[in-house]
Amino acid sequence: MKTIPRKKSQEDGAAFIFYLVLMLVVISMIAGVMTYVSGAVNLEHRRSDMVAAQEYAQGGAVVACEETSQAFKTTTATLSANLLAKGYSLDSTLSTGQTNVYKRTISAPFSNQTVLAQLWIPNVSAPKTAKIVAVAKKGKITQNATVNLQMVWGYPAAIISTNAGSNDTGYSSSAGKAGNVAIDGVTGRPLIVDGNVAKAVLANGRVNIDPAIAAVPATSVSSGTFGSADEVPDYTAQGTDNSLFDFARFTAVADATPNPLNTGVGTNHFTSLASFLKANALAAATPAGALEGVIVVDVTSTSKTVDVGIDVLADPAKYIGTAYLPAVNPKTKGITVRGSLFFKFGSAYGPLDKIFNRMPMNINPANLSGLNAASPTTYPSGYPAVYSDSTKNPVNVNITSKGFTNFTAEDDLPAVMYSIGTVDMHGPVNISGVVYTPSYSELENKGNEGFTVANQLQYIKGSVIVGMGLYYQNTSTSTGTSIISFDQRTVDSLATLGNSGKTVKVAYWQ
Amino acid sequence: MRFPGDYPGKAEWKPFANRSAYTLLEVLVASSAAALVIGCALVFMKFARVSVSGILSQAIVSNTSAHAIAHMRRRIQLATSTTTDAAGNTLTLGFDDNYQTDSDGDGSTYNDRDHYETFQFTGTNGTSAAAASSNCLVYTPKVGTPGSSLLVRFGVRNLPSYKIFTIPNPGTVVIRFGVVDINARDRFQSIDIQGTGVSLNRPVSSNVISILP
Repeated sequence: MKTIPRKKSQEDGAAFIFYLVLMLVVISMIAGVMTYVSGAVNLEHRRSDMVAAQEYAQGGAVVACEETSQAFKTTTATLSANLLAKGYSLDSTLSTGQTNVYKRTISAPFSNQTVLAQLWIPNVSAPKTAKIVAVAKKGKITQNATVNLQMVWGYPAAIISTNAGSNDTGYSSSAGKAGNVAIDGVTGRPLIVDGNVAKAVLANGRVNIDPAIAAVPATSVSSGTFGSADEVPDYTAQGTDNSLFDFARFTAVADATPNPLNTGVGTNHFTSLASFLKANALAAATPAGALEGVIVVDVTSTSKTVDVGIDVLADPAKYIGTAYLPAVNPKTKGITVRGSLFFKFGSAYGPLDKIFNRMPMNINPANLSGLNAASPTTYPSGYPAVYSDSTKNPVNVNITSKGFTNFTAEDDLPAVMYSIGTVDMHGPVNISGVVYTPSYSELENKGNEGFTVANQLQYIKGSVIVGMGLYYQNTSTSTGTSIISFDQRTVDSLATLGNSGKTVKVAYWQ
Repeated sequence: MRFPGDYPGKAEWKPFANRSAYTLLEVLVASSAAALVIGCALVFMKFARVSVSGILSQAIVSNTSAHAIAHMRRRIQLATSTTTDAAGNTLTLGFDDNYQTDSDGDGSTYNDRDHYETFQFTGTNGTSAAAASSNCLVYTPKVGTPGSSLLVRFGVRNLPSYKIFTIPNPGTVVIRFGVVDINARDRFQSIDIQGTGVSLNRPVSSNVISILP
């Protein structure tokens, strides 16, 4: 047998290499494409995870918001205790002397997903703000959502009445005195309750509106809610001074605010109406043109023979040219205050006991030159007060030594308050801010009384909050206009006692 | 009987593998085979190119549009204001740059509009793929300050009968657009995309979310 040796062929090798290269090129192309597509799919997956994680984080933040709100509204225990009861724990690592941080891992209502929620709450008795940070992880992606909360006024309306009211369906003062809101008008006299972005009237009792009035649509009224889930909380402690605002805190500010116009006392706390009116007249002649800051006026006497100020308010025309009225334009200057005016009634006054005020009331007065009663967009505001003397600004008055927390720039302070008693305003009114009393209130447009003002305007831009009923009237024979228009800015951060009337609101997301 | 190798001086018969050249038959067969392989390869590559190009284009338009709408939705969420022009081609968002400062003096420190951002469609409105070739979506992170980026570089077009940006209420922005790859050879890869952005920081008076069709 003979074996024939096989010689290697160069041509065969070249063809093989060609096919190999071709295959490698094709495989490389396919691999490249697959790599790209794989990367794109991976990117899409990560993007999908990112979106899912964002939404889980936001969902967790919303759950934490609701739980914070529930804890905030439960007044049987402290906010901290309420949060602990809901499963939150204090994170001692993150907490500081100024801020408490609570945390909880939220699993419901999610499926196979958890969200870590952190509540950052200022370590004070009545926090005004809070922050929630929720962190969610989906796949390899972690996202967080931050939402900032405010504890704000929870019952926005032009008129708020907390009294249970009665069955009285009339719209005279007797219905108001029974705890209802009685709005009494007459055809041709503008009597406007403008809810703006809120309700016109929120009342636990009845809201009786004279059918002659077309400016208060029924749809903007909430009434008869006493005892229901929609009831406005009775923060006024009926018939007592213990109320929505800490009157003692405001009095402390007045006591600590220097005012040389208050002869003999030297502060913004006036011990009689007469001394207040004298200082008011003197202030009209100063560059500021007004008393400034938190003004507290004691109304202890029920007799004009003891306190002539009662008579000055009731019949100012008699006192023109005296020390009780501004020397220039008393009919328009009247009482002018920038800040807060608090009539502090003495124990001799009951909820229905009145002092009549026919002097103009200019508290944080708005520029009314462009006001058109038929157009709510033209309703101006003089709130917040702009102080010409910064030492009068309540923010700059230190009351910590008196045992109170100082007011801050974020606080919304009421324009007018009075305790148990009634300041029955018959004269011109130009008030920007909240008007509050735990008592009964009357606001009657009677331009034919006192100074006899033609086309008298009673204008309140803010909110009127009453505890024992309201009688709001414009039926006088003279032409006049009455407007109460809600202003959200005046109640956003209302400086209430504790957290009275407040609710948790989302301010903004980050 | 004599075989070729039996004659001295004459060429010896050799098997094919030991020869140094190909016969015509061999060349023909080999050429045919090579032509067939190369032809198949070319056909394969031709279709592969279309396919690969299509895959890549689809991936690009999908990625681009997904990124664009995700980015827009994220910015809308944090905006304090949302507006569009009448044509629905420009979405303008307002942002509060400092949550501690009340720059508009309305009493709230967190709802200001300290700077504006825009998402702007530039080009020719319509659904035509050809006309969309130079259409793009431009993002300007701060209006009035130089600097913007192309969110979608080309091929942006309207969905039939829809504007790109619609604001049914001040808190909601509906975004509808398509992105088309203008290369005809890969069969015009495209994507139609629509979504809704909801501003979490919308104004208080707009806390009403309409039900979208």
